[in-house]
Amino acid sequence: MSRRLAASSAALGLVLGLTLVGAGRAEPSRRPKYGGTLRVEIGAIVNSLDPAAAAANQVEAAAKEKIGALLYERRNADGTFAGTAGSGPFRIAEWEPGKHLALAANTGFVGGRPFVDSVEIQMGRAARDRVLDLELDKADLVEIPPEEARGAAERGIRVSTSQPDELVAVAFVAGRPAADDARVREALARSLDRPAMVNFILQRGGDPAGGLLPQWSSGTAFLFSTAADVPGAEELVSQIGHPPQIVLGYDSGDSLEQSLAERIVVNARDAGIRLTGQGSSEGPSGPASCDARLVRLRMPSPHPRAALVNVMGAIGPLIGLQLAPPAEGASAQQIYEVERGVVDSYRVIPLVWLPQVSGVGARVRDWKAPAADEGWPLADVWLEQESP
Amino acid sequence: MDWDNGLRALADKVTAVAPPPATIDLTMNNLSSLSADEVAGIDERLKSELTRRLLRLAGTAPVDVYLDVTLSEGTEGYLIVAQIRRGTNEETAIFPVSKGAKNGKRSGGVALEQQLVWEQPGVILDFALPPAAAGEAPTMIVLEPGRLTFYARKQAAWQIDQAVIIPPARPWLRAARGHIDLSQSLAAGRAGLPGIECKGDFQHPEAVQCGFVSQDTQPWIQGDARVPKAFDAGGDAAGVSLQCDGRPVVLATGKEDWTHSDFIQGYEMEANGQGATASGNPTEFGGPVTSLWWTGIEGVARAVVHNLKTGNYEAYIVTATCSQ
Repeated sequence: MSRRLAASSAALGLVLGLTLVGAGRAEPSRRPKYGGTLRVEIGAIVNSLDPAAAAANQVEAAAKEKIGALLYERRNADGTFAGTAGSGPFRIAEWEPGKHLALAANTGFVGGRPFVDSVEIQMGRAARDRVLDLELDKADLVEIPPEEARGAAERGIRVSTSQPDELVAVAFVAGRPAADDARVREALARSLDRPAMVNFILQRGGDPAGGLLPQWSSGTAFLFSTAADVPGAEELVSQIGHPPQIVLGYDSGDSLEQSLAERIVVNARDAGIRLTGQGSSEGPSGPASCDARLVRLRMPSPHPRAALVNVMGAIGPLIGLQLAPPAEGASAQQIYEVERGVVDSYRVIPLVWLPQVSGVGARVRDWKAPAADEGWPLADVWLEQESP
Repeated sequence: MDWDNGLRALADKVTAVAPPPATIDLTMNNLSSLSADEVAGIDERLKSELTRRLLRLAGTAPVDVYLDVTLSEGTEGYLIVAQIRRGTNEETAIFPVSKGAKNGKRSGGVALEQQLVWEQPGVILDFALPPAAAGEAPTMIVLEPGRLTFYARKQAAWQIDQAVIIPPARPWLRAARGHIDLSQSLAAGRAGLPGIECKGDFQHPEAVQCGFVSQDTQPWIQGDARVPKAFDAGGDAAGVSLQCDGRPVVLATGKEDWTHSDFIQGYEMEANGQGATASGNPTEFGGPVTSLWWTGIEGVARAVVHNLKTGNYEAYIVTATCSQ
């Protein structure tokens, strides 16, 4: 048989095989099917898919990262995307910056052709509209803010929640006089009621954070207290005499940051600390007048050493961190001691851990909440039926 | 480090902080996925290590050292976290313990035991452990989407011996399945993916040839032919050529999709092949069972699991026996 004929026969075999599945013994329904369009809605507005172009804010940067992981085959050692756009599981079919992106399955992807034929991503959709579209079967996959996850689940929405992998923390800006006194920073850390932040602001859609690594990753987070110690904070304030006024910056476009900042102001005031919140639309860098800032840090890896190195690298310059990150091959004991050193400096005060929450439509199969080092697993999901 | 070594290291640490005959007040907490029985066993072993070092376990005051031990768990394994407090001094000592596969329990019916033989980050479609010839090193064959890899057991570890590259008929399908068939003999081995078959003398991998075939000639795609057609537990199933009280035994996976942890359950078939009853306890895995086949040895199946926690693909031997 010629090679060409053999190839044709193989192609026919593939078709026959897929057809015979239904004709012979019933194929288990959990076997994936090919075809269909996955409809995705996100809140972010992405204006450029060029990895080199700077994002306007953290929300856009995170969305660009997720989309990039669908377009590029792999990453370089430094985490940047390698190869050309379209070498990944999907290629761009249509692109309206800031509004809409259509992706088509890359049949030549080395990791295997995605199950779905295409993905439609609508951008800039409000959280309420996204959930509504999911309920009306106008969307298959939507992002849900962590604080709305519980309510969505109670409404019968299929909610997928990742391990909590995004840290929200207060970072004191190096060189600001108000942040110089370690007792001021410690007093603020002790005054915070993190469980209340989780229960009331996040509606239990997260975990209190005492350390820089979550319990599921390091196994040692329980060693870092998350309980408020108002008497301890008051004692420190009394030692200081006249505590300085602290200005806490946050992203005014981020309602969660705003709520957390308002809660911090209340906790601080209860302990005798003078702190005011200052919203800004200048993104993560914030205004220069802030003594401290709310920061959101997504774990790039589930492994504790890599995650701690990333956190220290991300906030080190801001807070003037002097400690060296844990070395390659560091033991659990060594990683804990470095983390303990950073936390006990009170230059960064962990607040809460947030998960990545998604609403998943009924016809979506094999959706798995992405791990800390994973993007959207859209190449792995398949649809029970074609698009309506 | 295993539990015994971890507990010994902890006992040595405590002895260094409080030399014998110090009195220790020990508290054990569990934040891991270990069961209460497993924690109780670890607690007993730690107490044994401490008393062997002539330390005394306190029931009442006076106490020299307070020892709070927490069994915890992270992405890299279990941790023994000890907070050792003597007077105003407190120190924290952490001892990692690697994870091992847990065994299934027996409680009558079909008893299942699982044994992890191999794991790797890349996809495993199927694997085989051919019987080793006298004087020869054991071998293992692993079928991946683009490769058939032959391993040899050397110095207590599996090492790649040879690999046969499987040319793609087209870009690999994500749902690719595979099957290794050594039922004729190792010298007439077959390894197939849908539309492709590699065959030849698997004792001499360099002679193995891969080519395109019609899927009509690959009956394994339809599942294990030994399983009665009426049997449907929702997932994959394999007959294992074992009978308990005259009833053929079939092993089957759960029916959830591949985003869930999974299990293998033994079933005893009715003589007419029309009915089946779950028998014994299932043996559980940390991810979906993506492949399940009989090994050719009575009661023994091979299973591939995609561990959702580690992301690795794991190869297990699952042995079914008839419990009394």
